[in-house]
Amino acid sequence: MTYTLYWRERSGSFAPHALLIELGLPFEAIRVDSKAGDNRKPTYLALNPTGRIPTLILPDGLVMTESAAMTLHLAESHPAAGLLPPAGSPERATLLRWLFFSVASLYETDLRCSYADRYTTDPQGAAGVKQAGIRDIDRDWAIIAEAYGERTYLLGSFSALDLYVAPQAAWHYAPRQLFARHPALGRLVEAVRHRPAIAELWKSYNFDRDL
Amino acid sequence: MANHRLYWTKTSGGFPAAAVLTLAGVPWDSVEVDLEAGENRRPDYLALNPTGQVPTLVLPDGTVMTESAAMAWHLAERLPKAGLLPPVGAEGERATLLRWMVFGAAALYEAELRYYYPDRYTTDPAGIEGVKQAGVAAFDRHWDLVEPLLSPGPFVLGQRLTVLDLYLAMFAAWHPGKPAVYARRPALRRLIDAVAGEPRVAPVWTLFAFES
Repeated sequence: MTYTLYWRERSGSFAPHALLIELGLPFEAIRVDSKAGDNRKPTYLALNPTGRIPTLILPDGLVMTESAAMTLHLAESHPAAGLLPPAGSPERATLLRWLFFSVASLYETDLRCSYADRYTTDPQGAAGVKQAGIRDIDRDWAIIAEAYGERTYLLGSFSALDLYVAPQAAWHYAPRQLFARHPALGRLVEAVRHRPAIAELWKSYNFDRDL
Repeated sequence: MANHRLYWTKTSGGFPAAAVLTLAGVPWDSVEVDLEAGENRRPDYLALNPTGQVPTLVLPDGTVMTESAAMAWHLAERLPKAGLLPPVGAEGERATLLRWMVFGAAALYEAELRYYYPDRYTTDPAGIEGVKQAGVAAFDRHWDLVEPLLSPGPFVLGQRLTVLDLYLAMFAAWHPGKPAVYARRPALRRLIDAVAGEPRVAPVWTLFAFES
């Protein structure tokens, strides 16, 4: 009974990938070479019609997309690890709030910066989309940095949420400036990249490139 | 113990949270936010929700929530009496619901905002129309992926209403280009009819002034 994760460096696959390791689950990791267009091939699109990475196949064969959904699913299916507060608790509410904020704001806004041309039908329109994206991503990081406050981890102790947020801070277009503005984000990244179980994985994702 | 307090506006993302509370039989304090008067930009609102977005939910213990999908999911977990979520362990079902809740927040919601507020997505005044068109195209593409989930329907889990259906029905009601869209997408029509027609949900649907 094994999980299968389709992953790629510097992508949203990190959080579920790290959780599979942290939780000690058996899994097969298949690297998707998006530069070679592997994620646009029929076999991949049959699993994940958005062509996005990651895709996770559960031991029972069910296919999941959306890295935040995988993160919640893996953490809630293995409650003993304590990476998700109990359902219904105020801490769970806070985790869900910031996880969905990261999905809807940080992650999506980053895509607007990186792939501005997808967000307009106007061939001349990409520059304006990218500028708006950069304006918004810095506003969104300021908001979540304030939620982290003086803590290293958003809930005080380490949780699945921190695994989701840290890589996004590392792939920010200028992470050093980001961390200078918001020390909380630098502190988070330092803590996550040095977690013994996943330090090697972090390196293999090439997240240190711009740090 | 205080009531749940929901800050909301008509046709906003507050709908699924309000519907979960209502289905659980839990009274909630209603604060309708006047966007035209800029109430969501005032310091007291921004102190609760620094994004200025509506809705915001304050839980009985004072914990503040933003993000409509997070609120709806949390309330469904917190109030099992509403019967809107399969238990953990019903793994496939919950994983599917999670997957598409996140897809809704990431893809449907975002494409819809690009359609309704294209000026926020570009700094170039000449670029607004292109952003809007791309938003419509994305929204339509995203529904292509959701539609198979709603067959045979009317809900994602067949006859069983879940929190995901409440969330998706809201997007279906927001879809630009109705009713031509419904003619092309009968599953959406079926979903909206089933959600809006659920006797306990119907008053909430009406309160939020969604067209059916």
